[in-house]
Amino acid sequence: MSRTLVFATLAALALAPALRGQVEIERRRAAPARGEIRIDNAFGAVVVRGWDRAEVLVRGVVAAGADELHLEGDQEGVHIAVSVPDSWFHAAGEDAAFRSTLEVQIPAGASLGIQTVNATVDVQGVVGEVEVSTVNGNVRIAAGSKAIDVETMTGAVEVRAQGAPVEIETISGAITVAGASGEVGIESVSGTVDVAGADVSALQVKTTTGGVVFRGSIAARGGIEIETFSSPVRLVLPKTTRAVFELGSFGGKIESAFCSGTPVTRERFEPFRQLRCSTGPDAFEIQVRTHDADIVLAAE
Amino acid sequence: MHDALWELEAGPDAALPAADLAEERLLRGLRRGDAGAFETLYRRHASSLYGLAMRLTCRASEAEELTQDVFVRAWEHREDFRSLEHFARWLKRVAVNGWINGLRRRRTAAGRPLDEDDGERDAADGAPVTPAGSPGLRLDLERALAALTPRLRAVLLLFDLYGLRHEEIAELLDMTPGASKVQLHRARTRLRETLQ
Amino acid sequence: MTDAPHRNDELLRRWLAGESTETEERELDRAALASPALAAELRAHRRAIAEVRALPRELAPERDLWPEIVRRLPPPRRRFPFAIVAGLAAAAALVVAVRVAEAPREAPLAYAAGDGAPAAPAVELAAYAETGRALAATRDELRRAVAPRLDALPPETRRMVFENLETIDRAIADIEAALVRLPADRELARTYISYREREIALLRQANRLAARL
Repeated sequence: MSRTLVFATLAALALAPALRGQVEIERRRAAPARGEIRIDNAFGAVVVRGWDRAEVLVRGVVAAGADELHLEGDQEGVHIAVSVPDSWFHAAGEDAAFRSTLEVQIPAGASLGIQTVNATVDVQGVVGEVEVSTVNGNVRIAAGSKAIDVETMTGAVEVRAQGAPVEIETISGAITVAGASGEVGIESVSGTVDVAGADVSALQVKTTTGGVVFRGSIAARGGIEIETFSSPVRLVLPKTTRAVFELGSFGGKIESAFCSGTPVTRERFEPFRQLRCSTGPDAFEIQVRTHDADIVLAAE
Repeated sequence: MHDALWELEAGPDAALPAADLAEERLLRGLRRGDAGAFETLYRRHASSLYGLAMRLTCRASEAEELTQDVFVRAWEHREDFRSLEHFARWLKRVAVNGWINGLRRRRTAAGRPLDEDDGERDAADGAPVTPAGSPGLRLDLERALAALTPRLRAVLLLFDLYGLRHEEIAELLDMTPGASKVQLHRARTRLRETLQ
Repeated sequence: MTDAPHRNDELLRRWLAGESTETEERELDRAALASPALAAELRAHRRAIAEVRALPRELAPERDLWPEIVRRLPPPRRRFPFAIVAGLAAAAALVVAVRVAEAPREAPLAYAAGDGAPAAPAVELAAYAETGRALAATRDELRRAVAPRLDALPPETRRMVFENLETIDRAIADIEAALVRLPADRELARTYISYREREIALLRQANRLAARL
């Protein structure tokens, strides 16, 4: 054997562990147009796009350290899963060899459920319900779907709601919701919350220290309820907004561009401040409570 | 109209009339872990709890499971009950919460929101229950209720049948009182449309 | 001049939403006298609601559930497992829900600091105090039970969770100090309970997510 060939063989053998097992995939399966699609991929990335075929197409790369891709289903739906050995579940910073990338096209009318640990998630064009559960991956959904539900720990969440009811729960991931309408429920600890929309009928936000901003218009009936401890709250509403306002803070300031004739009262238990007033019938209630963060109500 | 079963206790225990002594013995037995006392309480409350479960779930198998779950949890919390009124209220509130959590679990598995209609569920196992002797109109009402989304049905029943106020419904169903009012409006409108 | 059709729509909407006053309901009935269409709609709604209210609340299960319940009853416990703690937290939260919902809604406040506001009844305050103690005890049990799981969180996340718990603890201390000065204040009592609930919710949320790691 020539020296070149020996070196080439040795080099190939040295590289082989990294390349061995990393598999490019392209698999298809028929899927009901309005069935349930479940995707499990602990590490890496999940990209989902809705299309007009009664079929699921999975493309991507299954990581060297991962087990094989499972693709199974019946007349109710399809399940796509990439499993990894359990011992690596805690090695969040060492999961490079276990990151699989899945690009999945699904029937646009299907319901979608995604479960990951450290994978990023990107969903577009799915009209059915979308539910994502992750720990550290960022999540982006622009779906136009019936309902959107996201649970994460530190991943940032970006949702273009397009009118769908939205529920998001994070610990420290920043939350951005655009196109909100109807019902939005958000629970966070320190993630910032930024919601924009029109005709919002029910917005509920609970957080501890992340700031909260809402920009948009409200429906004729419903409510906004925001509770924070040290998160400043800023609401930017059309100046024609008609609602009952109930704003209170134990230690923060209250500034309001609405009800200018009603003063912010100092309560009997200092330093609590409160503003209660209305600009119209009580069909819509806006309640904001902070412990020591400022509340600003702006008009545009 | 406000169902007394949902009201707060009056406050610190006052002197008990003789008729309540038997109930106090029952409560002590429950706290001690006496299965006989617990069975007596089960027999007393099973129908009202099952009735609530059936109204919420519209499905006999789910109502049975929910009823059993609630009583098992009541046994686990047997040392916490201060009175039999507290016990009765606790059962109902845990049933509503258990029903909501069950819906959320199924939603996690199937990607469906609380607001999705489940009107097609009442086949075979899930046929609407009609008490003996009820006219066909009652069957229409049961079907109309089953056709509402879970959230709308819950708000309507808790308000109109169980007499809760919007603030109480909001606490139970984790929504604002304003949203409860909106849901009631929607539920009553859809019910009337379905019954027309 | 009032816009009668819009007023009627608003009266009907409020009635359907369960928020009419008695005065408004009487006004709605008078409007129905002048409008056959409104009268018909109101009759149809009232008929439907009456049917709902006539539903029996009690329904006997088709089979005896007791044997299955007995089979599922747990054996006497020796320790205080987390499931029970979480159940207690839920039970405590339910107690809070009952008590907070039942307290009468205050009228809008319009007095300056130092004015004598009517104190909440002693029995109501006792209920709030008892609930607050129960929630504090639940929080302590929950912290002990979930500590191992929270220790498994990534360091940055664990640090952030505990910092936020400290933020809530400081807020609770502020309210407790205010309650010392104003022990009969309903708003403060409600705020105290609300903060305790948020503390428990944060612990449970972190625990739930940590369980997935």
